[in-house]
Amino acid sequence: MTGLRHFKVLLIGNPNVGKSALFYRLSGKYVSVSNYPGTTVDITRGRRKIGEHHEIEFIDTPGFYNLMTITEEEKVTKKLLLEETPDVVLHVIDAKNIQRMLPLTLQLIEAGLPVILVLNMFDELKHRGLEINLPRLEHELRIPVVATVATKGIGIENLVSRIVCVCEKRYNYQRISIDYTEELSKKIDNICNLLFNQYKISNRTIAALLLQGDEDSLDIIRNEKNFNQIQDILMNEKQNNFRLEYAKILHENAMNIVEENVIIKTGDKDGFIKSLIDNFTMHPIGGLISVIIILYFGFYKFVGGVGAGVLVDFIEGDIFEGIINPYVNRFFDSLLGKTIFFDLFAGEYGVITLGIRYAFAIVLPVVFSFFLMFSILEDSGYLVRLSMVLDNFLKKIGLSGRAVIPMVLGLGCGTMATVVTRTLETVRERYIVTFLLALTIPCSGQLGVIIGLLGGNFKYLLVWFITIVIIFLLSGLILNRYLKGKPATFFMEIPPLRMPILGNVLLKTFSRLKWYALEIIPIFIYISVLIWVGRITKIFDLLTFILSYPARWAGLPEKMGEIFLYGFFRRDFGAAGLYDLQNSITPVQTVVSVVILTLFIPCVAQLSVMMKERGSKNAILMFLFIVPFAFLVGIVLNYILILGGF
Amino acid sequence: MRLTDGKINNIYIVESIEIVDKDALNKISSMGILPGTELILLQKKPTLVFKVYNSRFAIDNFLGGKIYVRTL
Repeated sequence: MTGLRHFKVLLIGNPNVGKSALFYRLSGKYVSVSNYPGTTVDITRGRRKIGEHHEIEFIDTPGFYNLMTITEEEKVTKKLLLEETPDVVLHVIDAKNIQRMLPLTLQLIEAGLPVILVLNMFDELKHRGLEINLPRLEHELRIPVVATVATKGIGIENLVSRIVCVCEKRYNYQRISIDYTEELSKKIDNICNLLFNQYKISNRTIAALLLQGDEDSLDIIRNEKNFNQIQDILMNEKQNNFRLEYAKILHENAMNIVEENVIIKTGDKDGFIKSLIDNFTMHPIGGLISVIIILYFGFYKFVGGVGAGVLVDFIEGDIFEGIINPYVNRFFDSLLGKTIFFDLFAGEYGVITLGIRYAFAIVLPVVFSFFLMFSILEDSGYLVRLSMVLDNFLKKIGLSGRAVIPMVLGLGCGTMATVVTRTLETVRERYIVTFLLALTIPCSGQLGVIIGLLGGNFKYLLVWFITIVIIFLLSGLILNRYLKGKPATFFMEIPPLRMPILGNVLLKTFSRLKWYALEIIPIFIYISVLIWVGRITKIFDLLTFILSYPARWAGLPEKMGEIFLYGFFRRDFGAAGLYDLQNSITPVQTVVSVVILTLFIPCVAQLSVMMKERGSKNAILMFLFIVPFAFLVGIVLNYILILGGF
Repeated sequence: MRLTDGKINNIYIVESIEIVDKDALNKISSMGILPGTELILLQKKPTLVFKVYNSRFAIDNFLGGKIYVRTL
């Protein structure tokens, strides 16, 4: 009997070519898949047993353009290539863009890696009237080439069998060489002759990278005995910019292959309606109009109306208030009587009657409807258009259109969004977005409650909205002015508008929801217990008392101190507390409290992620600024509203 | 002329790319834009949009200003 053999398969490729969708099909493990470049922020690993004897570990990587890396994300992938020994490297490309992506395939082949070329989104290629002669392409590249449509699961079986074949070393790779100019070829050979150690990638590739000034490659050859000599050569070559020449050569090589293997027929034109919507969402004015339409219907009507309205009313009112809570109260009353332990589980602040109720009845329905809407927008390709429309505006606050994704995601969950800031290019942008997420952007838990509280009164909703926008702009402008660093640049591929596939949208929504639920439900329960402990030890009373001062200065009832304390633990939790209080406070008090809660420090989870991503010092500085600032804005707003005769 | 000075719906051939800013150069060449590449300028607002091979890209004026083109 033979044992299980383990293999490692790496998925790499440009952003937005369907790596994550393919990873899901191959490994059965779900990572957020979308029609938005750069949504994979970490490497994801998933194992799958194939047949009796093979266990394959699939590794999904962030988007990658070139072995000459720019962003941190790309460096992660390069590091995997340079340091791990994958049995197979799947180079996943968007089939219709083979001209643009084949240069990387050539680079990988030259590097001596066991490459399989995956022509994904093969259906869109056909739609464009292109055809690729697969057997011939395979013959020419001398590597396996497989066509797939990952979102629909087409071509996966074939790919798996090719992977197994390569893993078992049954595929006979033959080196093909790139046609360099004579001059460049000589220079590459010169360096190759000085390299004596063994590397994970070929010496030719290392030499080519060195000539282009690649720092990572310089790092890995540090132990060469001829290191100094190589360094001298590189110093002399520094003024020759090989980067462009090298790119051009790779590109010409790729073009020759493409010209022989891609057949252009007449394509189906996009339908009239599709191209109309496509142009409208990209138009400078049409784009803004579509933002407003989507905000109104997608978020105000759907997330606010259906999620925070109908769903919350049903689960909160009918299920919890109507059925669960009375039952839980009776049950624990008969079990524990009127003791402090009764209060732990039931009563006003019990783990079940408060913690679980908030999590399932108020927050989860809103988060669910938000993620659903977000997934639809993501898969349709709309978010890229939004990035484009907002790029100029975001430049004013030191960001680029790329910042749209973490910011919009922040309307769902600030913690998740803070992690996603990694897709931004510069540290400066990440810092600005992290701060804006912490201060101004309300998460969906809050947003649902805010719309629920103020939605009936458009005037007050507008007051809240304008206040938050002003704070957002001011803090953005100030940060942009005083933070050091290079301004952000923007470039992004615009994918075609696609009709989102229901199954994929649901899968994505549930995977985000799962992440959220695993993250929040324990916290809600934990906080209920904490509140119980805080109450019986009177610490809770003391903190409430302290927080009631700034609350009173802002013209709010003392009870608000308690809600801000909830907010300290979790923003949406505080907002949900406010929901309970709505009938006993005036509209002005409601607006002021909602503004303070929106600005107030992020929840415990977000703070811990901020510390992890931006460093403890930066996170704590942000924290120390935000708490008093939130109250200050509340106090000022209260005065303005009173003076304004509200 | 720079791509930012181009006219909408015109076809251009890339003549050269500014090489001083290495970061920008890398970004531009990763879109498949190299001297000799043919592209169609589709929009100038809210950002530049052009089509190269079968992809459309949106880029800002900062990067667009580093691409020099001539008409076909």
